[in-house]
Amino acid sequence: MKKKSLLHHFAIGLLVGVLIMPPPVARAQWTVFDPSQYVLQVTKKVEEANRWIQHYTNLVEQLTTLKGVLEKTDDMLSKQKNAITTMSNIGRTVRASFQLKDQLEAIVTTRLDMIKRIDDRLRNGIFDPEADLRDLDEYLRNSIGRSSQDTIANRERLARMDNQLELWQRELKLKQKTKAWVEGKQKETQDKLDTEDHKLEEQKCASCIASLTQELASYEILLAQLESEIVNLRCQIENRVKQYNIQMQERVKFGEQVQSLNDGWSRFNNSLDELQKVLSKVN
Amino acid sequence: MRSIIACVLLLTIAGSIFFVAGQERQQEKKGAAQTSDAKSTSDQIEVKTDRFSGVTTVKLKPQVILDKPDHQMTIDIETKLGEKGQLDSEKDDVKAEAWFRSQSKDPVDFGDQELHFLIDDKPLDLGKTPGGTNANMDKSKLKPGFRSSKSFVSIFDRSDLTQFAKARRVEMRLGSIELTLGQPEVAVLREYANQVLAQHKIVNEKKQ
Repeated sequence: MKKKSLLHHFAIGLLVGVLIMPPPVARAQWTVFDPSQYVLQVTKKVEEANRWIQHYTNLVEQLTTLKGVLEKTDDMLSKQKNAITTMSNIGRTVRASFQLKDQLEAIVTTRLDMIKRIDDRLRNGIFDPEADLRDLDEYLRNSIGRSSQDTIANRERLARMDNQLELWQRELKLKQKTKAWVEGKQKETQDKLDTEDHKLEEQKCASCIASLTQELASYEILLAQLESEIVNLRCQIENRVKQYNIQMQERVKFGEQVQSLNDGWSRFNNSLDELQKVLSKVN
Repeated sequence: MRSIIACVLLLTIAGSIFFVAGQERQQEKKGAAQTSDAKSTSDQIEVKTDRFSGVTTVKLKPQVILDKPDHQMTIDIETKLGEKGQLDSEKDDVKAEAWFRSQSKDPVDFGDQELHFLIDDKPLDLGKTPGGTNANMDKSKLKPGFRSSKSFVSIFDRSDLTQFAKARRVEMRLGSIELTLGQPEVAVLREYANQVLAQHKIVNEKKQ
């Protein structure tokens, strides 16, 4: 009896517990991506694009034939001004249709390339960092900074063509060499004068000392003159170089842009990797 | 059979030990030769830094580049790095003052005094070198029998030094005098150029 009541109590408790327990929360499901379905869609798009190319080629062919027909009509109605205008318009239409065909072909080819790339990506997996990097490389090589590169090249050419700057630099170098030589001579003369000064009074050569002192003075004057010429030349060169400074700033700016873009791209790739890991865990 | 295999094994082990030991000894010898060579070139270069001004001076002691019975010519170079008063455009450049000192029995005509180098067959035109007779020079410093002394000065900039730093063969012409530098002198010049470029980098980094 006691055993039965225990079982009875336990059954009731279980029943009450089940009733009290809150219902399980519904969980959102992951979006399912079906690569095979996507491939099918892409293939359909490729087929559609091909159909469009075919359609426009037919159109152009028709118009070309029409042009041949209309040429005779053009001859017959050549005397009438209105007719001539009409013919000219038709001719323009035919030429435009050729142009249109070329443009369309170009667009379709580009789109096909793009679709092919999407297809490749699908085959290699959606998250293909290497393909992303290749695309970025292509973008950097062909699009970004192309104009700034040209600008810099033009300015560099200008700098190379600046004969005045080159002349000043040559002159500066020669003046610096002359200054170095004069300084050397000055030192030599000073040494000789010191030797004379250290001699005993009776051995000293007064005329020699006078001549050496005079020589030293002339070197001083020459050095002062050279120094002022060098300062002048350096100022001129510095001012001219400042004009080309914008070029350097532009180069630095462009470099920074590329650097930040690269950083951003590597961060994006890292995030992709993490996302891929999470997805693979879920699957 | 077992004894034969044991013998072959012993021989192989002993042979390989001797081979390795021999190779190590050869490498040691080679290393010793290289250090002695490096010592001899570094003796010719002097690097001094002034603690107060922060200016580093790199000096190359006189190197004989022409040694004839009646004519001798030397080259000595001095570079000062980290001097004040440099403009922004000059901060990345180096100015090495190269002195060419000649002494001879009879006065030598240096013609147009234009200085040219051929570094590994690549021309380097350094233009006119100011210079002339050393009237006030102490005659006792001349070699016995030598009476005439002339000196010329030129300046090597960074790009010139970069060329010297990689030079294997150096030919030179100063006015009418043409000569080829010997291999020891080329090695010293190469070492000097490298030293200057390295010191310049250090000085620039200190300033930043």
